[in-house]
Amino acid sequence: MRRWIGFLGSWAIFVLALGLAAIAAAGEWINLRDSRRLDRVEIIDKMIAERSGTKAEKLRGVAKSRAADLNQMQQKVNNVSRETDDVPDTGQSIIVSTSENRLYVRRNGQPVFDAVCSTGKGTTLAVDGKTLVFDTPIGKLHIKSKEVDPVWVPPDWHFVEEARKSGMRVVHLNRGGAVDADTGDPVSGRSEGIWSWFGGSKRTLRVQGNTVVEEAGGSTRELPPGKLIVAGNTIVVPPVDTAQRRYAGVLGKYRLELGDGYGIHGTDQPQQLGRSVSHGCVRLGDADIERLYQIANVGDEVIIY
Amino acid sequence: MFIAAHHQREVIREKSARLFQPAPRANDELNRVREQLADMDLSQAQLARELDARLDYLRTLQSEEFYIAVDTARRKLSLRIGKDVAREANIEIGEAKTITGSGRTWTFVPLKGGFTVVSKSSDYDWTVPEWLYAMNQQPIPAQRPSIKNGLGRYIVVLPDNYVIHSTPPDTSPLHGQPKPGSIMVPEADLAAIWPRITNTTRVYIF
Repeated sequence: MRRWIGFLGSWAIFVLALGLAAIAAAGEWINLRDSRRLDRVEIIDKMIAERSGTKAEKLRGVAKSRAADLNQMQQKVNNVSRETDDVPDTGQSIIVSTSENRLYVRRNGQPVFDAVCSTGKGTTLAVDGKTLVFDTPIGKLHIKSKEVDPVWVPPDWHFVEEARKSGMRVVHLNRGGAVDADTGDPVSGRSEGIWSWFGGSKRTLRVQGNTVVEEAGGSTRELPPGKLIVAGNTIVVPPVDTAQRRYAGVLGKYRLELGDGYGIHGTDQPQQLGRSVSHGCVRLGDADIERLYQIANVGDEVIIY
Repeated sequence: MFIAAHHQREVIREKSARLFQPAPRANDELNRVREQLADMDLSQAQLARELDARLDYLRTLQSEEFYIAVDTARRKLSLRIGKDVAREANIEIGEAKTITGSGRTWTFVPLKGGFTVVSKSSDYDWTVPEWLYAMNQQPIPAQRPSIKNGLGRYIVVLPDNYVIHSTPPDTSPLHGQPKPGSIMVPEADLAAIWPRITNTTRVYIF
């Protein structure tokens, strides 16, 4: 009996010693692993410091030789930072894929809306010595404002493009000037008093207040707003602040402004959706632009790729 | 033994407190990089390489340029601008392979780090490479055939001929599988980001 107790006791002591040794070994291994990890952190910190140092050295060199440029650049960076800070983080992004003509909305990383759209057609047009490219701007933009029943005031290129389509020419109708309504030729001087008798039935286009009128034989007729003015083989470009330069309905019911004349809006040509046909804006169908208008916030990021 | 281990633990604790104390205006991203690298059992040279690639990536996060990020652990490729994701796609990564045949050896190891796109091609003719015959244990013909879009309709070439490619067609001996060591992206996803890929686009694979 005593021998058994001695035997079992020896085993118990042996197992206990083995257990303690295992615990000690495990502890040592953990210490070793953590110690090596900390050594690596020290090396990494040293490398980061070295790289920061190298970068700072380069910057100092640049600062010495081009101090003025650096100040200017810094000013620009500050301005951009200020602009960026002004944009509230809404947690919502509007993503536009130009190659697929699709628009997506993601809120906190989760998709909440997607729709077929139309983006820039990528064609070029030479106007007054400049070449315009009808591309949707690529990169990161923000919604600057939201608008209901937007009115389109077409830029000059619209008239040039329309004229080129049908082999016509373009003439600008300026305030105080007149254009022959039959030929599109500028009319010099004004037929008034006795001279108007010699004008006979000649029709001329003029600006009266904020509207373009047609005068003929002493009578005056206001031209319909938002319609192309054609005089013979000429497209007449009315002044920007006239009713004839304001096109209602072309942009659909809603518009989200992105800046620089670009926006996301509806369309009066829903059959073109899904194709790259716009002049740079993003077009959506009626129901989709209405939904987007409801969920979009001023300040939302718009990423166009 | 226990006293020594306990002492060593105390030293580690002190060192940890010193190295991981919260720095004023600490850069979260930089701290994450530091933590990630600390967990990798790498040599100093490997650490330097990994750190440079990650610092380069952090700089890209501040920029407003599009770049491609490939997360090999999540098997996702994303087109990003700054910190924002414009497009994300599921990917397949061709397994690492060492192929021998005809007295030659080809080694394909999945690429990691920061790179600049070398070139891109679409609608191209692809001459079946020798390694593909060796991989399929077939004799290499004197005249290797040319296959239209053999690596998929779109390929983005990275340094050392690594590629990001779309799904190879059935006519390709790859039969819809990724090239060993390379990254395969669904055709629709690569087509969608295609216009944004140029020979200045940065690609970060991690």
